[in-house]
Amino acid sequence: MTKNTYIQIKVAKDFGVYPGARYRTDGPFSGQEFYEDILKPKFQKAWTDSQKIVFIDLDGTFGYASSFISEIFIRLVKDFEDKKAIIKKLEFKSEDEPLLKKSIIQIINEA
Amino acid sequence: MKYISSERKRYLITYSTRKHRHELQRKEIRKQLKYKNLLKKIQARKVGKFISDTNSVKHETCLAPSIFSFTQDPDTAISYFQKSRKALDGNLPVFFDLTQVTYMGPETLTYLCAFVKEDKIIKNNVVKGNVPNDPIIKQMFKKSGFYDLMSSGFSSNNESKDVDNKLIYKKTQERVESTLAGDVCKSAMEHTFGTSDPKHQRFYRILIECMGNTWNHANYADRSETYSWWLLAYKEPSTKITKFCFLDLGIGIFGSLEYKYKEHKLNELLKWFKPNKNKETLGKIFKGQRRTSTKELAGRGQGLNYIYSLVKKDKTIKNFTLISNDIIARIGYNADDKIDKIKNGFIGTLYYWEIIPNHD
Repeated sequence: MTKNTYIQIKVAKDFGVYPGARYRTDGPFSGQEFYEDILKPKFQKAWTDSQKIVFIDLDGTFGYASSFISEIFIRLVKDFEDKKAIIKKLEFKSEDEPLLKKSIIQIINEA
Repeated sequence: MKYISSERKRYLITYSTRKHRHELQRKEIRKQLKYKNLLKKIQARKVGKFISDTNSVKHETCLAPSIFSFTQDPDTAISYFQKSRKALDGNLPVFFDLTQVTYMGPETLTYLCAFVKEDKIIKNNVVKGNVPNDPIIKQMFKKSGFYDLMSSGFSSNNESKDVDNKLIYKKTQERVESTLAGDVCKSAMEHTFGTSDPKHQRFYRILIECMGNTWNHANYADRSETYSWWLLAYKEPSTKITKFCFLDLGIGIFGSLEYKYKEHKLNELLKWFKPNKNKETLGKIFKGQRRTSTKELAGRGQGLNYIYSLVKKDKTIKNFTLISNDIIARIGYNADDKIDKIKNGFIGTLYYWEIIPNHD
């Protein structure tokens, strides 16, 4: 059995500690910006390689607005469609806000 | 007699007509400019006279109530500003007499600031005022940076204008300014909790949701309109409490919902929204009962529900109050929700909350 390799994203370090709202037009550090500039290119790599998983470390920021989180994962579902496969390709660390992982899974399932 | 060809004749007629029209236009522009300049001069004279010798100009004096607070007595505060607005609409200068105020919350100070700086309200008029005699409120005026925002039209009652801390922020493009929100939160955390470690707070998320709501709803009826949002994070000098106020003077939460309802653009709204039942509507929004099942709207309209859940979970957030249109809502950790109707309609949306140290 082959071991999974992780593509890491640490939001606080790779994106910023002050996440904003939904669209780029809303202001800086939006969910759209995070998705298009950070998550999508990395997720694309993981999507084509069965051994790769995207690991998102959500800790260390000032917190996430509902619109920021929903925009990212609704876009992810729109682009990659297979919800079950998307959930399998993602792993999270969220010690600052333990319920966040559950909300993300819910957003993906409802998208 | 000189012969003029018909072509030349046509040219001369066209040219002279054009020249005549051009002259008329120039004359009209000159007339308009002269009129505008005259109006400006009259206005400037009126402003100058009102500032230097208030009583010599016909004006409206608005005497503020002793308890001047949107959170404690919203109806009185709203009717105070309605009276001022009526005078301004009638082209009368207004004098804000605050001397008799014994209690004034930072939310009322923020509203006063927004009110006198809003061109749509003040129009071409002039306002002047004084500050309360109460030393604690005077200190709040000084520390908040209120005087920095005012022009000479608002006398400082001989208070020093040397304000070291800027605490009132105004943004005119209604954008979500996450860096500003983060910096404000950091500074509030240092004052209240003695640390700037982000995991000790939930109010950054509340601020972003407030900014997002303004961006999405304040000018829903007319996208060409721009509304400013105002933010005050007042670090009470005598305690460790930080008092937040976030305000916009837009059409309000229910105002924007009503437009959406009338437009029938968001059919999903029709299922739960009942016009003129704002109290019930807000209850549903808070509890997340308006979650949508349509895919195009997935993840939308959850801001207030999210704010509600953050406030209910956090014992360091106290006295959370939301005022919009004809509704005031008070929610808190381990406390019953209070959603009430207010007599006088509030223009815009106001969020107020306090951060207290966690003694656990």
